[in-house]
Amino acid sequence: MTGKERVLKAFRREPVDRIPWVPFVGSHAGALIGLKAHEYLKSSKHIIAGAEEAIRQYDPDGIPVTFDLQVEAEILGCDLVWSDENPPAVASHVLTDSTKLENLHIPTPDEGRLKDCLEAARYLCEAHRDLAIYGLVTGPFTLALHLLGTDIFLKMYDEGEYVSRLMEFCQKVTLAVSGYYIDAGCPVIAVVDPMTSQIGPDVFEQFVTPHSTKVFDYIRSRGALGSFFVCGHAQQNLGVMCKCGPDNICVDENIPLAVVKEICEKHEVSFGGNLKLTTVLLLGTPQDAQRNAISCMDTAGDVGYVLAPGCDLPYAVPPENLKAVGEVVRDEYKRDVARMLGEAEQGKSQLDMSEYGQADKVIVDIVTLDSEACAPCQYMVEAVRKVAPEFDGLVEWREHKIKYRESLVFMNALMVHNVPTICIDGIITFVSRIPSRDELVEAIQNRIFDKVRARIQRRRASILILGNGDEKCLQLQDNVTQAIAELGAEVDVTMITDEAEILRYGVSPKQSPVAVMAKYQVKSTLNVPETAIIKEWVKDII
Amino acid sequence: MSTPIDVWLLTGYLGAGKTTMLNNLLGAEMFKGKRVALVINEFGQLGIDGALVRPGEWTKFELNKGSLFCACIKVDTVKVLRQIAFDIKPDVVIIEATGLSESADLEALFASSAIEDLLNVRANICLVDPVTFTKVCAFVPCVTRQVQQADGIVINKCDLSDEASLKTLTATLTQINPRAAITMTSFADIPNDWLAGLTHASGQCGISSGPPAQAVSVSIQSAKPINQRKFMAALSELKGSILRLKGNIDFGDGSIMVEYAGGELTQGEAIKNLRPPTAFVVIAWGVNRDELAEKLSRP
Repeated sequence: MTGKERVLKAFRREPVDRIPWVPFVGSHAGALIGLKAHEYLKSSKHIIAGAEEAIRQYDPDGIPVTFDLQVEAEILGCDLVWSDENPPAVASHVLTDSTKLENLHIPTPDEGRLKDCLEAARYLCEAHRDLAIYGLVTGPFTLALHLLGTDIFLKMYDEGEYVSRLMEFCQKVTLAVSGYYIDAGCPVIAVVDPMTSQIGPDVFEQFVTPHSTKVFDYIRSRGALGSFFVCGHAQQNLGVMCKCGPDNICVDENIPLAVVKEICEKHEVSFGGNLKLTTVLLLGTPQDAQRNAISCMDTAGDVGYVLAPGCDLPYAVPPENLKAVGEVVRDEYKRDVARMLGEAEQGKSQLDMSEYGQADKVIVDIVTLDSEACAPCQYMVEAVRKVAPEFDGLVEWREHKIKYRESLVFMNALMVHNVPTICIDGIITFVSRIPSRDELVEAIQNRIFDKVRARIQRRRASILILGNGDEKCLQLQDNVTQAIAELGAEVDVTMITDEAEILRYGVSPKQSPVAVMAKYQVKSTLNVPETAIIKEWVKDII
Repeated sequence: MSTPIDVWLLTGYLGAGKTTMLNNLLGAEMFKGKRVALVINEFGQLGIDGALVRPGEWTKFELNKGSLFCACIKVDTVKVLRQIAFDIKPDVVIIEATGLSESADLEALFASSAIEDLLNVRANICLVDPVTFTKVCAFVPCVTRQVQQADGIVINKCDLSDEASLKTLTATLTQINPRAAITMTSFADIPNDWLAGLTHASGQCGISSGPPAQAVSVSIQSAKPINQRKFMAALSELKGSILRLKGNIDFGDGSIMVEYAGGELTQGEAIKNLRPPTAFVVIAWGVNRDELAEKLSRP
């Protein structure tokens, strides 16, 4: 099965040999070939070179020609501001100056940078017949915002009819550009309309639905497949987006994938996206990227899903992260390895907890939502804060607000399931209930007694008698045994007569009899403490 | 670890007066003698807000890449905030959010591990322009969510509104966010003690959970004339809920223009290009759409 077949089958919700992988490489392709975003996006030569490099490095099933939602707006007269590491931004909205909507034209295929994009599309579709090359077009609502700016929201009330006419025009642009990409050979058209996340489903149905529906109808009538891209908090619109008739819906990490799956399956539309662009792909490690990809694939299931980031990949995404995603997509074994490593890592954090509570001080952990905002959490923290000083430095306490990730990890490691909870030396002690002063004092005191008891139990000692085993040696052994018995202590007594062995204790066999006392203390079990920790132990005995 | 730097967050829809308020804050008593860093996060109006900030000894950062993509803005914002905390080390940070920002996302940013020890939100202030707010709240949900997340709400530009409109608006804002302190003003002129009295609630505890009632917009179109008596009766019944209404209505004698705001219905010459004879938009708060449409279109 070729990558293209895989993507098209996934779009049609037919079975595939594995989930297809489509990295949305836009200006990131510039980074791959050592160019700034503004250099890369301005020439068909660079767009082709960038896509070729991305295909070579990432071995994807599909890839967009490029990713720039300002191409159409620029042709229609909007000024752009270019930057090194981002696609350009629209700086002036052509309809807010003297330009009239009636005077705008539908861009032709040889205008502006559309010409470069289409040239690249033709080349890539020809050179990579086995890949699903996505033609990317600006969705009608996002284009309308480029042309009119945010005035569009006021005009929805003041001049709703004008907004409808503007949307009609933008739809014609989107439709025309979709047609150009289909002519160039693209089997998939991505209608990217991120700004629709700003409106609710009612307004979407009023201003967007009629126009987007026409675009997807047209794409289908031309024998191509259409994907509706959105980003941001667009959960409320998924249902109405499905009703516009796309073959696929693509979302970013702001919408839980399980929600997307449920809604799309109900409407018999395939879906894609959801890989975390910023926190994982840009800022994370290859292992993070693999785990994220696996979790997306596990949630989505094998049918009707295209693994992809939700939007244009950031310019500076480390290529290793994308390569790592490709590995777990293509190779089941690597997927299993990544999964195991993930589990091992989780296990490690739990093992670390066995060390927990071995310190001399008693540690009181309070797991909360946030004591500043949640009353029960606040009272629990206050209870501990008041009691702790009574133990004169023996008790250390801290709050873990689970709105932060580290705290969540900590909570899981301690197997805490309710909030707020007090743990004493890692042991869950009070759950969802604020203890009285006396209960808390008692609990902490019990823990201190436990520790003292444990410390005594952990101590072991030996007395060695070194010598030739003569009368004097035997007398010494008797005295030692007698002393131990009188004290009721647990001490081993051993007689050593081997001369070589005696020398190892730094004494001569001639000094017989010699008494050597050794004290043992169990310092750690089941794990390998860090050198830094062991150094602290050693300081105690030198 | 030094104490986190105080951050004042200004939110509100475009044109609500955030930049004016920013300038007022720069001259305010409580910021006198302090080292201030400004973050101006614009949307769609490159460089304009930044240029309006009064000159002075502040360090200014403009996040005006105009990116449509939330992820891009997030990366840049985290970068700038960390730069401020590590390199600039000001006494105070004032952030002017974009008119379309999601306050909850911003708050989440300050709670993230990259930022939380460095910066601390002192207060989240949302500015509301009575005229614009009542027009866009039904179309742009984030405008309502900005109000919902605020510690203090400033109803600005009161000189341009009548008392009845302001009363309806205040009641609506209180419903959206009963916790926030509300002050009314013009020219974003805020008393010092109001500012000083604000306390920040992170709002992540799930206490105010559950979606707020929705602002709805209904577009009503009809080829048949509307019964004027029934229409007026419905209008007075729904008075507390209707924020705005505008368009053409045919009461039987041809289209006329009607506009309703602040309890007053004004009429005039029909708006051109509107079809059919009755075509108007109504924005209301806390009413069912179907009920609203049915009551205002009885023949």
